[in-house]
Amino acid sequence: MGLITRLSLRNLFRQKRRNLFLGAAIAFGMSILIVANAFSHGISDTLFNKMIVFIAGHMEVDVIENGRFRTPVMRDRAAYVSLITSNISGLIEIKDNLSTTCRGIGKGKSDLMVIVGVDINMNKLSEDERNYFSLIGGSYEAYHDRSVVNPIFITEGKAKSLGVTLNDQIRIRLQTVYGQSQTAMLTVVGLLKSKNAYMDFAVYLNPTDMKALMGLRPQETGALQLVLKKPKSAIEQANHLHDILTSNIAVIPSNIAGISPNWVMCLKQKHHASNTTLNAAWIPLDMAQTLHLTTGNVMSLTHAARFERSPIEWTLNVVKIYDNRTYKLPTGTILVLDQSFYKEYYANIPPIIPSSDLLWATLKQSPFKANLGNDFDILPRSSTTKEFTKRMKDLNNEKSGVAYIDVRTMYETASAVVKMEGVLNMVTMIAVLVLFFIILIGVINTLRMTIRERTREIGTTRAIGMQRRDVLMTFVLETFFLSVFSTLSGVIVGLLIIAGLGAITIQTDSFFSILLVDKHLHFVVNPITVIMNLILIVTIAVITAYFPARRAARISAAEALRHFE
Amino acid sequence: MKRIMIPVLLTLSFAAQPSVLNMMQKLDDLQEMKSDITAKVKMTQQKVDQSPKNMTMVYYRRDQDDAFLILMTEPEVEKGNGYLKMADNFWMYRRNTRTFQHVNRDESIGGSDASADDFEKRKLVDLYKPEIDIKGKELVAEEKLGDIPVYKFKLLGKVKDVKYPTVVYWVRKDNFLPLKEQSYSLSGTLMESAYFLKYTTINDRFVWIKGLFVDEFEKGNKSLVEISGISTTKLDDSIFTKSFLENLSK
Repeated sequence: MGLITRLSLRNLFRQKRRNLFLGAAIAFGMSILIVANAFSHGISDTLFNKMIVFIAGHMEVDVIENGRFRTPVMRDRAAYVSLITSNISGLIEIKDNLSTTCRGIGKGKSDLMVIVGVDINMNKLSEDERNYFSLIGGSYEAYHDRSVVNPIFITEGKAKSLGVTLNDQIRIRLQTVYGQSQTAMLTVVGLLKSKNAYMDFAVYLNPTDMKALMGLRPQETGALQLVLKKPKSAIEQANHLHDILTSNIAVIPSNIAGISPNWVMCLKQKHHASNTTLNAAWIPLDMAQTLHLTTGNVMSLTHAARFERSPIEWTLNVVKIYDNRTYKLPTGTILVLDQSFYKEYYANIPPIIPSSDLLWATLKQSPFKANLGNDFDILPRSSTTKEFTKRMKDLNNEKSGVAYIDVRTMYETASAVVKMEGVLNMVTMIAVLVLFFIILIGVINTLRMTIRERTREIGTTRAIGMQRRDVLMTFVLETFFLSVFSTLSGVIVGLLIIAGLGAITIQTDSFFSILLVDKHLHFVVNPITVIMNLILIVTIAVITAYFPARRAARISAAEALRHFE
Repeated sequence: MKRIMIPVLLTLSFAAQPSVLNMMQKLDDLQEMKSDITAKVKMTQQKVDQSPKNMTMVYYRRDQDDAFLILMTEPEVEKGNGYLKMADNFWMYRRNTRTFQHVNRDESIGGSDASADDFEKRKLVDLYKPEIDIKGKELVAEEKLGDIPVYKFKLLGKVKDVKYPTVVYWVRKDNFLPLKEQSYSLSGTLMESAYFLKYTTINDRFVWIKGLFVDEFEKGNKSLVEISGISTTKLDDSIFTKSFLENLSK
């Protein structure tokens, strides 16, 4: 075998010019493949890992009230954090999604911008995040300075569009999570380098001030974003979390003097005649008799709230008195029509009722339970961005006021990016395959010429004892070495092209800028992909060489020696 | 007889200073139309560093069904587009694509500052409460707006989902028509001033026909709204349907 290898290598260098051209063609094809793959991986890396993960994390859990999907509100952050940490594996971080679009007025200029509530603590940030928040002016300390009014970090691009610089103030108007008009003054304490066009939409404010601006209380947050060790496991993890979420009948334990126990539950309005009375309530007959109430009367009660020390007062308008012998609801159950119920329920989340409480067993037996509203509903998982967008829009049709939980991953919210990467890879692959088809025709042609030129040599070697198999192997190995050297050269050339293109600074404000990182093209070379491509090309070359080589091996020694050109 | 009696009764009933709650109810009544309404609405929008933008639309309204339909007639690019509200459902119609899209309650309408929740049929008395002093007495001031004597009172949001948590009204003393309204943000910044410049009577009810809405946050932005061609003729049920807008595009 050593002799065959030496022979193959010697033959390879015998026809230097021909093999050099053929090798250059293979190397060119390989370098194009390397550059194109690195570019498409770079785009998806930019969009997923440098953009979407900052916007939505690998996974996101939202609670949407009143169809306001752009401003989700999570009323009990700690409960969801606990649920996530105990059920999601490979979790790196849970981030609060606190962001809103607003109008900002700087120095004589105004612009739309997104304020993002983020804790920029250099000791806690990842390498990527530290790089993302690199300052070109101002200080990190000022970002947490409580004596400064709403300290913000802003990119140089956004600062320019608002005509502001360090220590200037920006007036903003926004809407709270309840839709209330809100205004505030922001102070620029840090200027950030614009890494990409997306970054130029945003300004960054610490989460505490952001919550206050959005009308969120300390225990609340917008949504939770999860960063995972294995981003590709996001769909599996999201499905798991979605499966374990279960809703219960919404119950507010209440207090009415002289009546114990008593509860307020939600009556789904779609099952009953619409009633526009605010805080419209159905009360049981025995309660009506005890309290001397009738329809049209007003009644007051108090209830405890999970995050309030004092009891909450609630005034209800009695619109119906029901007979509990039919409904078989727990004793002392007041039914409040859904829209009013949910307003109170979410504004003042009630304490958790233990699952061992008799109430649940009674409710389970009640023939009326289908008419009672849940504490939340769970949206089905979306598989594409289109499906997700439609689902969010459809929430406008939901009038009961119940909150919806949505568990999503970046693959659904940005399925277009996944598709784009796939399409880019496919286009690259087709172009490269066409290129290789042409190159392989060159390989076949070269081999045929070589075999023809070396027919007498084959005859001589066969006459002195070389076996057919050895002849075949000589040609196959020659092509193997040629393709290996060429593809390796192609990899080196490709890497050099990548380094060259990546070094060019591109100044553009067009949509294309969204694909740039630090104003440079971003390439990600995946070693596994490179090795796979290398193996693929060498295999194709060897298979292509096999058939002409086999023909050469089949020629008899006498016939080969007779060959003359 | 009716023409004589109504002003007399109004004068008698308004002799004493009314409560703010009472005035709020009157403002709510003013909004409520018993009959169907058709009107032509012209909106001239002025934004900083931009030339004025004119929009005209035909407005069909039926309060008893909480329904209205807005059909854009100008500018050309908006012509045929529209909005349809039926009870809790609010759609936007696009002529080019012939599609209806549900409008989220915080979405802007026709690129203006108005959002879908501005069109929700919610009463002032359900949303706001009068400002009171430490003794619990409603605060009402008597002022003059130009030459016209007015009551001025401040309302505070009693629910959280109101666009402006504080509003101040100036209403005429003689007939309680609002002449001016100022809206404040949660942090107390003046956001918008509305001036109701001209009223007309339709079926013995007052309807404002010229209003100026000034953006106080971004100075220089303002919208002038003029309403004309008001008719109270009963409208065909088919107007408040999706197919009405679709048929107009054919």
